[in-house]
Amino acid sequence: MLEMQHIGKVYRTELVETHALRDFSLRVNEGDFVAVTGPSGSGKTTFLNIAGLLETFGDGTYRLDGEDVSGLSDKQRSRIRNQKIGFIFQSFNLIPDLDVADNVELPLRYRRLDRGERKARAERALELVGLASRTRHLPSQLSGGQQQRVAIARALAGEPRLILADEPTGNLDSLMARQVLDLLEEINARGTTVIMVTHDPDLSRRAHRNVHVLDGRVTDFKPYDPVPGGLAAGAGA
Amino acid sequence: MELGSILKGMSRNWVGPLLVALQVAITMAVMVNALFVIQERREVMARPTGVDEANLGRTGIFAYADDFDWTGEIRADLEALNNHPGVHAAGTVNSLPGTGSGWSSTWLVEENKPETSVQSAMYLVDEHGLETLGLELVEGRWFREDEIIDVDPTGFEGFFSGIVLTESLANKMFPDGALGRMVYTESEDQAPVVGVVRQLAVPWPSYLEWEDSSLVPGRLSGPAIFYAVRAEPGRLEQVLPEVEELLTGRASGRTVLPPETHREMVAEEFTDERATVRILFVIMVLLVLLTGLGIVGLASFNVRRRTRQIGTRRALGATRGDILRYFLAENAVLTAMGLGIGVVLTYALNYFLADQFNVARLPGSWLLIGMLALLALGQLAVLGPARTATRIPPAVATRTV
Repeated sequence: MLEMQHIGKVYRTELVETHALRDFSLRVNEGDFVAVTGPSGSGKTTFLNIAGLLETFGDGTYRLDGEDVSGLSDKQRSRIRNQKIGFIFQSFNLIPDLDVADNVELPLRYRRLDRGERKARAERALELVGLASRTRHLPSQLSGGQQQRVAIARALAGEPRLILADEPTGNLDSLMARQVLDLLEEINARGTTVIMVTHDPDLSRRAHRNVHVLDGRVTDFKPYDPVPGGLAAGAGA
Repeated sequence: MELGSILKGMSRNWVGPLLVALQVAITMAVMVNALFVIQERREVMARPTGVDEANLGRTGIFAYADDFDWTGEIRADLEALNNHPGVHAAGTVNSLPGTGSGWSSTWLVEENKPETSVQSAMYLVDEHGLETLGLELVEGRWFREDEIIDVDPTGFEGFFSGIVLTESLANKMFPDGALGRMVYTESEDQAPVVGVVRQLAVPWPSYLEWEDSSLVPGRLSGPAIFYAVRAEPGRLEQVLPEVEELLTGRASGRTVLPPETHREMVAEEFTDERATVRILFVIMVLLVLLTGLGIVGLASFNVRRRTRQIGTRRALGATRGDILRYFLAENAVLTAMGLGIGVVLTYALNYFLADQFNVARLPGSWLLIGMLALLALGQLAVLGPARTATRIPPAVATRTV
C-alpha cells in the first residue's frame, strides 16, 4: 500500500537547517493498522504529511498504492489525496460554516460527484459513525467526540484505500477516545489501511503494528497483534 | 460550485459581507449615475452649433465719443475687415450660439393668438451673416443690405422686412412649409419667412430647444456692437490679432473689444460644466477604488481567518484552481447581492436627479453595463487575496495555527 525508501526531508530557514526525516524507510501493507509513535519533534507529523502527499520530500522514493508519487504535480497530488486518502486530524478540522452533511460531502465535491451521489455517500458514512440524525447541525453544536466522528465520516465518504489519522484522540476525553478507536478498528476490519500517529502508548497497543520514530528515523518496529501476511518488514536505517 | 454553502457561510458571518455589499450598492448607484451625467454633459458640450466653429471669432467696438459716426464707421469697419487677407467674411451680430448670452423672442404662428406662441433665440444679423457664420441656407434667401435696420434695444420704430428660421423652428411653427408664411409678434408686428437655414443653436447651453433660433436683419444702434469674423480655414489664430490691430488703428473715439475665438467663448461658458464633470469623475473613481479596497480587505481577512480551513480543503483534495474558484465565487455572490440592492439605489438616485436637475432617465443598458463593470471590479479585487489563498499549503491542516 505504502512504501517509502530512504526518504529525507529538510526544513531550511536562513539560520537553521532541520532534518525532519533522515533515510526514512517504511512499508505498510494493504489492510494494516499501523500506529506511529514517538516524542514531539521526532518527525511523526512530517512522515504523515509526506505519506498523505501534503508535503513534498527531498531524497528517496515513495510508492503509494503501487504508484511512484515522487515527481507528481500539485494537481496530481490533490487528485490522489482526494481519491485514495482519508484524513483525520487532531483538531477535527471541520469547516465551521458548513453543517455536518456539507462537511462530509466536501471531498466528494472536489471529486466532482453529482449531488445525489454525494448525498448518498455522506448519509452512509454518517450512519456508520452514528450521526445520521445530525446532518443539519453545525460543528459548533456538537461535542468533541461527535465532531471527530464527523471528521471520520468525511474521511470515509470518499471510500479511501488509506486512512491517515493525526493524533485522532488527542483532543478527546478517554471515553470518546475509546469510541473513536473502536471506529477506526471497525474501518480497518472492513479492509481499509489505517496509519495513526499518536504519542499515547495505550492507543498504539491497539494497532497491528507499531512504528517508533526518533530524530526522523524509524528506530523500532514491532507487531502487537500479528496478522499473518500483514507483517511485511519495514526497516529503519 | 459551492453556492449553497457560500450563502450559508455568509448568513452566519453576515456583518462584513453586508457592509461590503452595501458599499457595492452605493458605488453602483453613484458610479452609474455619475457616468450617465458625465456622458450627458459631454454630449451637451459637444453639440454642434451650426456655425463654422473652427474658424469663427468675435471682436467688437464700444464707442465713447459723442460725435462718433456710428453707421459710417461700422460700414467702414466691415469693408476693412472683409478686405483683410485671411478674413473669409465679417458682419455684425448681437450674439453667437453657445456663448451664454443673447436675445430671445416670442413669435406667434397666428395673428393675435397667444396660444400659438413659440419661444426662440433671436439673432440680429446683417447681409454678411450667412457667409460670416457659415450657415447652410436650405430654402429661400438671405437678407439684402437694404433690409438691415438699426435696432435700439430699448425700443425701435418699424419691424423687420423678413425673418429666417432654423429648420427645427420652421418645422415646429409651420409643419407644412415655412417659406412665405407670416410670423407675428405679440405687439402686432409681422414679417414673412424669407429663408430657412439648416442649423443654428441658441446662445444658452442649458436651453432645451437647442436649435430653435430665428434671424432678423438688424444692427444694434450703439454704443457697442459685435463683429463676427470668419477666417479662411486654419487662419483664425493669425487673423484675430491682425483684426484687432486693424480696428484699433482705423478710427478714434472708441475701444476695440479684445477678440476671442468662438471655441474659447463656448469653452468659457462651459467652465462650470467641465468642473462638475471633473469632480463627478474624481468622486466616482475614488468610490470605485474604495470599494475595490473594501473587497480586497474583506477577502484578505477571510483568507487569513480561514488559513487552516483552506489547508484542510487542500488536504481533502481541492486543487489550487478549486480554492481560487471558491473565492471568486464567494466574491461574485457578495457583489451580486450588492448589485441587487444597487439596482434599486441607482434608479432611486436617477429619479431624484431627474426630478431635481433635469437629468434624463437612465436607460437599462447603463444599468447592465454598470453591473458587469462592478462584477469585473469585484473579481479583479479578489484575485490578489484569492491567489494568496491558493498558495496556502495543504500541510497547514496538520499544524497548529
